[in-house]
Amino acid sequence: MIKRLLQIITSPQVFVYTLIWLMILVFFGTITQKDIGLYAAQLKYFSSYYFIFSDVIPLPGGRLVLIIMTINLFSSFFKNYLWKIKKIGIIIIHVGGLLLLIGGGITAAFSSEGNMVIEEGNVASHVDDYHDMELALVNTSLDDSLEYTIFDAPLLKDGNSINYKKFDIEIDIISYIKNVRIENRISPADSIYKGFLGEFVLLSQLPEKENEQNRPGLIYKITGSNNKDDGIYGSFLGQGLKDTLIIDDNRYFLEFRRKRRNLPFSIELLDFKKVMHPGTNIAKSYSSEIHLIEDKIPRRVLIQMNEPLRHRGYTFYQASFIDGLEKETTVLAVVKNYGRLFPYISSIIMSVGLLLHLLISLPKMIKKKI
Amino acid sequence: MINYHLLISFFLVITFSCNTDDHIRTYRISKKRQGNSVAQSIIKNNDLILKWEKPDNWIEVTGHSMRLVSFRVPCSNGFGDLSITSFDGKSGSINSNVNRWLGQIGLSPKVSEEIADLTQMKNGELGQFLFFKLINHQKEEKAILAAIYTLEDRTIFIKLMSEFQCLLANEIDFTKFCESLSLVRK
Repeated sequence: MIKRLLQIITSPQVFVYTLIWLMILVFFGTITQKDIGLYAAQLKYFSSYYFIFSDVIPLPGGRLVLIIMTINLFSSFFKNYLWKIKKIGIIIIHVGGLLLLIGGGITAAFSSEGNMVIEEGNVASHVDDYHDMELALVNTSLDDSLEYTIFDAPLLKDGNSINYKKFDIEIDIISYIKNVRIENRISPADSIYKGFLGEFVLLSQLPEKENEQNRPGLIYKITGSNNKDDGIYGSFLGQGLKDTLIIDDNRYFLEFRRKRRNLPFSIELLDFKKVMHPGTNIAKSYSSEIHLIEDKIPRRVLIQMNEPLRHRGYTFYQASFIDGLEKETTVLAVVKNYGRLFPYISSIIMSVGLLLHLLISLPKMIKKKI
Repeated sequence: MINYHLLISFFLVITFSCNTDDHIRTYRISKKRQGNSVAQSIIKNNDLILKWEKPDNWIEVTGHSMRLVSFRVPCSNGFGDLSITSFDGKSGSINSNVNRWLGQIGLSPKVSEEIADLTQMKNGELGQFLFFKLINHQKEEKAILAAIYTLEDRTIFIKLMSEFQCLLANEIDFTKFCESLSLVRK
């Protein structure tokens, strides 16, 4: 059975079918983006293993198709008929194609995108993810530092139970809400509801088209801290006053926030400048003069539109700004893409392969013409 | 022909060598690196200074001549506007101020009894203050949380105007902020 399946997957025709299916996905993904937003379309058509068409028919998603394509291309190296000197060009083209797919896989699995918001005169050393969330349990009782224990998004699914042995506590995820609506409680809350949920309720509302406009929320139950603080908590993105609890005589606060990636260096915003189109409030260009601080040594850098800063695998683009009356705030889009170079390298390899194949085939083609 | 065993083994190794992350991380950050985490700000007013404690994500802005200070309060879709104003003496009746705020969110003025129903009493560092939550459910893009401290020689107004959901999200912060206000001699 498996052998039969592999025979189908590794046949050259399948490569052609997957290519056609990818084109169809790109077409429908682009059309649907208008209705469901960019992020949702990307998740549905390209980052999925399958998707349900018209609520009935399951169809293969981009990720599954690309995996089949990779297996198909990779399996060609195990075929004896390919390993001939006159097919060296085709082998090289296959290597290039495989590298391109591997690069795509690396980008999908390990790359990150987010933004960095820095007010003039302030220093920042972390990036907030655009889409992924995390729950942070922050110990504020240490003398010189804050200790963060982070529970990543894959753990924060409805019904999931996190048993964290270090604190001997259990966190049961009751509900992950994509877009939360806050309402006052009509009647006094049961004593099981702690902190913010003592006075308010978190309700689900229809998600916005663009994911960045949603305010995600999380309702979860904590047991094993101490009797007084055990109960149901509710946190949401942008919650100012965080709920607190005591675990082993240490005071912790709970924060539901965008996934944070700490950088091995810091950025201080020295000055933000913007040039407006004459007579309008529309920005023509804007730039951030920063100090890139690494090992306590500051280096002055100017980041402006179309001139990003590239440093230690991170790329910082000037993305937006927030107007302030006295100080301005810059918004930098930060991308770390481990597979960034793969498309360039694979394109070169494939070009070399095509050229080589052409040169090898040329005498035969000329001979045929004559 | 293809060596399928080799091919399957290769992909099994690739599959099971990935994603062994348990999705729980722990790290520490020096408290000094946190920057202005909990700000305590000072504004001069004659021989007294007004002090408060604010959440670290509120951005202080100045520039309004009538205001002691303003803050931009972050919401998921922008910012709310929080202001503190202080006037010598009584500075108009409570009713006229509340009716002015009601007008700002598109509601018609109310009589004293109706305003009394809207009023909550709370206690802060400066003593008792009046607390108002003004919402127009037909126009939820603008809602107001307000507090009024009527002191011996001055009246302090604290007002947060924002979209309704932002208002609810920041209600506890706002209340704590109002409670934390204190006046000390220079």
